[in-house]
Amino acid sequence: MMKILKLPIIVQREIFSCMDYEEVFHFSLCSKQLFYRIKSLQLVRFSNIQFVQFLFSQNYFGVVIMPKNGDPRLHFERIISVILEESERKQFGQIEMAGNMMKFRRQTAEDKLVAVYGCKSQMESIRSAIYTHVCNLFGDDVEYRMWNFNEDTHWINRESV
Amino acid sequence: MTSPASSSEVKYLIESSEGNTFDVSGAALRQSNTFNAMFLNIGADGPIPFTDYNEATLKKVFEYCEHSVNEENYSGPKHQDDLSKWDLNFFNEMDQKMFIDVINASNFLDIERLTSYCCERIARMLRGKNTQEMIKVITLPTAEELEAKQKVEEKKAAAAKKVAEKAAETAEKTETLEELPVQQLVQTTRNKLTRKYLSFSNE
Repeated sequence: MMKILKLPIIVQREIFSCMDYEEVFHFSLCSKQLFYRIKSLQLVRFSNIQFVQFLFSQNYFGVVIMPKNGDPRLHFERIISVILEESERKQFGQIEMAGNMMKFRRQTAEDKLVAVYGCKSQMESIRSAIYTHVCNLFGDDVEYRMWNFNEDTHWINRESV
Repeated sequence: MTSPASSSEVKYLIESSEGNTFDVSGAALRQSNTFNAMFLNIGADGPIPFTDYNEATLKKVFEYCEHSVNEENYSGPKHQDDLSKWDLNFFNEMDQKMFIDVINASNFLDIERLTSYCCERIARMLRGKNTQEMIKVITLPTAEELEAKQKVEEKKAAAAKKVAEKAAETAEKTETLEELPVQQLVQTTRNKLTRKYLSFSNE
């Protein structure tokens, strides 16, 4: 059994630092204990994030991370996206996020974490759940940006939201 | 510690949790920062006790150290794809329990290279998995652990049964003890009353 939380703290930190942001974010969804452990052990790493950007339009919502001192084309990392449910893909899993049970598309190494919604009314709750989870994980020191596809680009610090 | 002729061939005796001792070369041991801090300057008279870890685990860890003696100095974690065939075989031979023991031992001995490879390997195990699969990898107990858990529960149940039986026995005893003084009390009061009655009647 691989009880990660029972391994020495240094080893846990090393494991988390071997993962990229998308994997760490995904891993934080597994349990509350893991979420808090990741948050506490990756404080220094998270302080190296230049900004977290929420991309949203009427039918799409995504979160991307831009680390500091990096080329945007190389290091812009998408950690999660939400799309309309497709009829072709029928394998789903459920994950609890900020108290909401969300439906996720079964992903492979290539296909990243994608939440799906059946009707537009679900979009609002999914968006707020992801927003809460991301803000709780990365903390208040990171700059959060909102980018609405349909309108002009806005940069908003989390404190002012 | 054995005392060979040349310092490069110094061998140290290591003691495992079973109390067994085995030889490890000084060059291999020097990869452990814990050993460097504790014994390198002052030396060791007897076997060095690493009694928190079993022999198999320690031998595995020092096997890795012996192998990597001739490699270049460690410069940060290497990507898993860059590992040599020997390294891959080394990791593939281990089962999960041994793997965890090796991580713990290498963390205690502070062997950076081995610890970082192990961590990279765990991160790889979780790569490309969905949440349910991740949870399975990190929390599901093995058959051995389930058996051990069951045994512990059985022992607890047996102990609880014994305690309950003892409590029942003591309760029975106290009941009989409580009955005796009441009967005696009744008897004595009855005797007193009869005596008084007799004395009154005589008067």
